[in-house]
Amino acid sequence: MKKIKIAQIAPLWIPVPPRTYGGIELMLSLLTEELVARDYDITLFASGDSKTSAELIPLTEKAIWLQKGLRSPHAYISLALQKIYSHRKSFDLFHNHFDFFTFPLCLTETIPILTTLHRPIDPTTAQAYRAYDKIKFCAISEDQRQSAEENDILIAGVVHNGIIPERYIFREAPDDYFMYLGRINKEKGIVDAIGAAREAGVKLLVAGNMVGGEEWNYFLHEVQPLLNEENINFVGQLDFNEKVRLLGGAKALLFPIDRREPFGLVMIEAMACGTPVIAYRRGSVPEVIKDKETGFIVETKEEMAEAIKKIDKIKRQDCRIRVEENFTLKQMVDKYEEIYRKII
Amino acid sequence: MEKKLRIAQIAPLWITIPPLKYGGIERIIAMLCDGLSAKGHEVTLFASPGSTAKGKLISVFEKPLLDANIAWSNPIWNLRNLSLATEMANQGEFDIIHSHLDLWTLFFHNLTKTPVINTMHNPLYRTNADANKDDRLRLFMEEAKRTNIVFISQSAKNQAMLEFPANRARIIYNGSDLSHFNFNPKGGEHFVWVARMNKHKGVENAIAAAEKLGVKLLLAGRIDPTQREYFEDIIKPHLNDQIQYVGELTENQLSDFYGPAKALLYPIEWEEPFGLVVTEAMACGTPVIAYRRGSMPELIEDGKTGFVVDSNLDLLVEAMKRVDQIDRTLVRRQVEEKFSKGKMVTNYEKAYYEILNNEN
Repeated sequence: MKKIKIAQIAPLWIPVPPRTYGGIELMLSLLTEELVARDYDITLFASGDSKTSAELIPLTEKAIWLQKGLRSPHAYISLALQKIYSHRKSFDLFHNHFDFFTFPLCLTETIPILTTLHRPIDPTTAQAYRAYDKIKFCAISEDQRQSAEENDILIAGVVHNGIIPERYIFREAPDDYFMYLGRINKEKGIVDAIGAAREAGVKLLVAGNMVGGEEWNYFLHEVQPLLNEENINFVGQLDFNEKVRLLGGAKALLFPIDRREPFGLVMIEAMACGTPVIAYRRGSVPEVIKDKETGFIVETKEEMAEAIKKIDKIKRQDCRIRVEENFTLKQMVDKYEEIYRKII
Repeated sequence: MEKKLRIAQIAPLWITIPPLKYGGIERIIAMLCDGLSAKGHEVTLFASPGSTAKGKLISVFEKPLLDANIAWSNPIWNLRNLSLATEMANQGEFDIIHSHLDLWTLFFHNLTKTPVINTMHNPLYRTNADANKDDRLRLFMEEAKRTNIVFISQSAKNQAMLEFPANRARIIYNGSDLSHFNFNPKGGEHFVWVARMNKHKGVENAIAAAEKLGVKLLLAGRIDPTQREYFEDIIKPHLNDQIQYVGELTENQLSDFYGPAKALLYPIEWEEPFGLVVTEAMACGTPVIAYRRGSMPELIEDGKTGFVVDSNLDLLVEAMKRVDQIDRTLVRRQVEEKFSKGKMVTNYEKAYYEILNNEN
């Protein structure tokens, strides 16, 4: 039987997989590897510094955020569109992870384009999405599907992100600290995480990075002044092994998210290590965490501080099991296969 | 007689067409829509709501992007604008698409059989030194040979450093609406400088020359937030009775600003692709003294409608002393003949017909 040919289109900002931070790129790397293992003919359109066992067609030499002195990313993206377009006849399906940038590809040809929505839906952007009525959309949580449908975007399927639990070392007995891991910006809630840790009088390890001037400014003015005490320890960006080691050692991951989070990969990464998650009730959080079983879902900083104090009530084994039963790569790819088959 | 055309004009979405205040590209597009409509063509303008240029207005978003606080770096609505025009073209609604979105457009001609023509309003690169590794140049090289490109001066075309296939690249100068610029046969004793407040627009050179010669100089133009410090630190200390800054002028005020001047000083420090203020001043009969950069030798006839000098302060001052030799009638006439709105509209119309005849 002829193999099904699928093109995966990556965002070009950072490589696939990411060197440090980058949930979309991590998920895309796992998806691509698993599809190759399942005997699909996969091509990955991504930045040239990406690594994959699929065929790589580089759209830029290096990931855009890693280039020095780049003045016009839009010209790059326009060039990338042209390159994808020139290969359009080679595929049965485009699976797009690069937001709206590739939507113009649907204007002439009949090759189906499935777009996974990796980011929160905002009503203004949704207007533009709706206008491309040939694009099929996939959500990464039920809450995101609801958010999309509130904006009249039709969703072809919901696929939770999945990971390979075996790659995360389970720790029954953690060390004596809590952890924040993610971009250092307002939406991800770093300031509340620090506030809650201080209020509860516990140690907090802060890992993450800043992208762009706005986040650097936020870091310099709002976050850095809070890091100057021995209980709040900033460790910067982590590679995969370092991330697993530190997540596993944490008593809990603090996730005081201040936006309608579409999934939140870091929550399942933490739970895979046995580490419970204390999160604000926004977006996908109630789908991912089981309140009082694999962490706590709270509404305020004060409640987060309270939850920190009773974290020992959570059985770390339950966290691991939640991931093994609900958020594995195998489950994710099974779901995508189903959707691919429906579309092709 | 050739048949009338159905023309799509794709405009940037940041402000309206024409603009309420500053916006050279937007003014050119408005003139083009008005002029083509007056000639009986069916113009569809893809632009923001509130645009009043003649033609059928289609807006993909509910207000100008600048009013909606959408970041310059977010291309979603420009992509949508181009996509909608392409979709409509593919349903047979247009004979030709004329895009003013520069580099973003270049990919889209692949998506339609309707001929596309692109006016490159902005310079392709800041300097030639970094041009070879410039991603914009790469994009341009890949797409430009297969589509139709208009440069707004020979100088801008030379900057592209490319050999173009015959009939693919054209030069069409920007036009000014002469009815907005009154001829002033006499001029006056002071000099003027108009541009956005910026070092590469030569404001420091103009001031230095006026100080050296001991003449009056009036400066006008917008100060962008990013240039506020430059203005405060470098320009403001020079201001006094002789050197004055009058602020940003509206289009209605420009004519009364240019007309009474002895000459416009334009000692620029970059390869300016056109320079609308030069032809606008000339439309009022006011000669222009410019540095030999970018399009200046094409716009100004040295010794006849102004002076084009090498980038040197003494040469600039020398030219200012000789400016009375210029016949202001000839200055106005040059704009009527080469840089009028009517001339520009006719040139674009001719280009459309040539392209359509080549493709059929």
